[in-house]
Amino acid sequence: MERLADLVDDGILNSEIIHVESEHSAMSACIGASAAGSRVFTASCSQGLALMNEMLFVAAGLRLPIVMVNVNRALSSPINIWCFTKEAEVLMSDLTYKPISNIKKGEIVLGKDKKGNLVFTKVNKTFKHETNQLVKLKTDKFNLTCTPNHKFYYHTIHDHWIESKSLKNKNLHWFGYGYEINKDFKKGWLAGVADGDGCFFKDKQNRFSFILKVKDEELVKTFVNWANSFGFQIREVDYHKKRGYSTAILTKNKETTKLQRFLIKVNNLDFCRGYLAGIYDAEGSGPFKCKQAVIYNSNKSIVELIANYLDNLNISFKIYLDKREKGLPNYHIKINNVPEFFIKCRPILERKRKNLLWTTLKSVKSRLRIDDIQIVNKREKVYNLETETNNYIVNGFLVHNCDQQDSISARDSGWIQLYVESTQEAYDTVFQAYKIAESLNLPVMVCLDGFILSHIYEPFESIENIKKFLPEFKPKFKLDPIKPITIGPVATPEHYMEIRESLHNDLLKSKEVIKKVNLEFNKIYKRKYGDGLIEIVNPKAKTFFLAAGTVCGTIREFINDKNIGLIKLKCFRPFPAEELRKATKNIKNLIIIDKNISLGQEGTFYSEIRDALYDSKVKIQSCVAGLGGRDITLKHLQDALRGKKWLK
Amino acid sequence: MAEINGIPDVELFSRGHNACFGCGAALAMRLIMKAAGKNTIVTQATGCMEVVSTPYPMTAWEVPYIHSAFENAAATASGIYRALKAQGDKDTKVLAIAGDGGTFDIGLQALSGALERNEKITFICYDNEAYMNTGIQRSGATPLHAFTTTTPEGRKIHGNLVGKKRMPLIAAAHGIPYVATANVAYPQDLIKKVKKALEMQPSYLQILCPCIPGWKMPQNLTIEIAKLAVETRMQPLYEIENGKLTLTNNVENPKPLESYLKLQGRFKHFFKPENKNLIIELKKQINEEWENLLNEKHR
Repeated sequence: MERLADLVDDGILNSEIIHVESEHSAMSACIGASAAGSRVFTASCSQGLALMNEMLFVAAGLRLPIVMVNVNRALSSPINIWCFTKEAEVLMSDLTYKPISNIKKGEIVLGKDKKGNLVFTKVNKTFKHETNQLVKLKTDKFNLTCTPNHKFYYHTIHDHWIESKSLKNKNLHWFGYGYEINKDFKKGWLAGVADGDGCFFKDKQNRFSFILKVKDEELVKTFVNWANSFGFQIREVDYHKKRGYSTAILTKNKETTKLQRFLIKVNNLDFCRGYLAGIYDAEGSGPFKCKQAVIYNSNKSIVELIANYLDNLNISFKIYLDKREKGLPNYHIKINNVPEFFIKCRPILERKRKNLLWTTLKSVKSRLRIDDIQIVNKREKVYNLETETNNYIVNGFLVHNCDQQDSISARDSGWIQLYVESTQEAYDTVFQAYKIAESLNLPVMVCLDGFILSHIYEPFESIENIKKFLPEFKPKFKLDPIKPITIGPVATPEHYMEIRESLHNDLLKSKEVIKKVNLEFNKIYKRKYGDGLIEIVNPKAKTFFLAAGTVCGTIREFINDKNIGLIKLKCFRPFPAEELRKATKNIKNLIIIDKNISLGQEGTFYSEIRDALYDSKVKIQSCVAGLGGRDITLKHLQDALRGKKWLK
Repeated sequence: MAEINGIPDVELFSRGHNACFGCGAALAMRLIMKAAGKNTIVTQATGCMEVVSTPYPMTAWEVPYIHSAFENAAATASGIYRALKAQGDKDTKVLAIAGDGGTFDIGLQALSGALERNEKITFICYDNEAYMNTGIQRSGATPLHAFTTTTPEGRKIHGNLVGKKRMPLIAAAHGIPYVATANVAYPQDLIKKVKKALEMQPSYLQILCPCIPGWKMPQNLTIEIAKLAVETRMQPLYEIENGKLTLTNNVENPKPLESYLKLQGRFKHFFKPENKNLIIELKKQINEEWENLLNEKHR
């Protein structure tokens, strides 16, 4: 919705945006606008969808072709977020720690992506609320207080998340503490960069000048910024696209002399760290494939100084002399313990820091022992963050944040429900949804997994010529003073059943439309999603998983080297019972993954599929998984094969 | 358009609907539509007027009409207005109509949202002072100590415990151009106000409509009782134009409140000897409301 607001406010999307005060009003406004003959869109999730529920039934009953996206999230009390007390410190992108209570929306912190890489992630939302119970963790390095159900990243053979109350005697991944960026560090960094890429010289007009000329604009910008903060009037020259470098320059005799004197080396630890960071930013190269960080320099006195500083910080290194090149000898300073170097010296340049970060994650051996856990009954304010990767690092731990219960609970509303697996599918399905909705005057809900799909960056192909597939909207009926009609009358039992029956029949008919639209879309854009209702992977297998949404991606990975198949349920309403019967004709086992639970009964997919296959000989197994956004890992799928019913 | 005594002869709320004999609200609908004219889209909240006017497959509405739920008339109207705007239609007026429940209580949030967003809609509340459609339950518009089925006259508690919510002033607090109160006994005034409200959008209009079963009154006294509500200062008539309040009926010599109360069964318990204080309290509150309006006027 935020992106749509951008498009409308920038005048790119010619549309009206209504900033409604509630989800109920959002669907009401959609009903009004759709009835008045406009194409409409809205989006919601969990509690919001529940508040909208009444209007979902009305929208379907009024036969309005509304399309919405539902970002699937857990729906129940306790509200599904996790928290820390205000002192907890979060690892920021510059490797400093900051109290969680001071973190604002939009700041960049460190988190882990789906593949387990350490990445920079943006804070989307901050939460603050009160709790009655807290857990105090005493570790061999520091103490931390958080809520009992807050999750920590616990690394065994398989990655998984564990609640704070069950952490005792477990060793956790620890990413170490960062150091503060203070004045001495900044001074050291300026000296390092100046030694690496800067030059003091006499120019043509015989002025004593200083120049810094590098490819990284970020480096020059930071240099100018920090130098200015120390009172130097250094100028930044615009980035030359053609020549590919950026320049900072100082041409006043007195100032330059002052700068040269300011950058004289001192033996202060923070200065050492800054200097090494600066020299690495200027001349270092990060470990891509090799496991080392390397600094290159040809000046022997500088190499000696670097060696001296690395010794001061207890970082082991080796110096090689590269003799292959002619002219000046080139020294390579190789640092083997990248995590140590990274944490102690903390390079500033994002490009170089990222490479180090990845290596650090892969090779980190530092573990933290949890010595004692205390549960304290105390009323206190607690904090949490929502980030793009759904996790972030607090006091060196990685913590996790984020079901389909919400939309499953709205299954009887008369809406077509389509579940998607990837951003590309989500994007494509929204356009298909309009085509389906408008051909039968039925509302369509595109359901995508919250956080896992809603908060990722994933490349996708956008569509330029959408009118070819989806022409201008021509409503079948609308509120028009020239031809007045009444929409939404009172129906007595005499008439009500027929109206419901016709809606039901059209919903069943929509299966053919969905299939047709899927083919049509494929014809133009060369992308299709099964037959539009279900997708079958590995059709010759005897054992199949059945699931909907992003977990299908995990299952694809899991069955890759096994003789197991997958039935991806894309369309849940109308229910593709016949298609499922056909697909399971020759199979033996069917494992159904439900990211929802009909409390007091069982997973909803399981109930409905068992019902569809009532006379079949397929052995059907129910698995409830991923409630509240708990990650479904390969280990869980292995457990499912072993017959486990709750994949926890 | 032909007019008789300032009342257009066009009929867009047709006869044959299912409202009770003497229904004040149905009369209000007829007058509203006379004033609004053909080029209007009406959205209505669930309530008496929706139920009596649209029994499938019939309708009393000769303009485009949509009903979707109880609490969302203002939000639906916002959607209609924006769709018209997007389609370049500047002439069609959007009118949201709700009862006092759909305005004072459950509909307040959506109404506040629409007024705050400056949606060019007119919201009309037909106020019969309780949930009459579902069987006379108390609403935020029920007068002090009045009987409803959920605020009965008991041995300990005598009717509704609190006075009527100052809904028009709440609407005006959104800084909208036009807010007014009207009464079915003053049709010319009502029509004038509806026309003004449609010109100065977003606008809010609250019309007092006697309810035969709910007020427990004879069906031939609708106009008389409605008129007495104004003449006893029970319902002050005023408009707030761009923040400035004007009383449209000054009621310099108000009639005794008892003349209004004694005609209605919902106030029967006021006349029991042991309940003398009820009438005193109601009078006190009416005076306070009147004083408050005068203060607003001179503000």
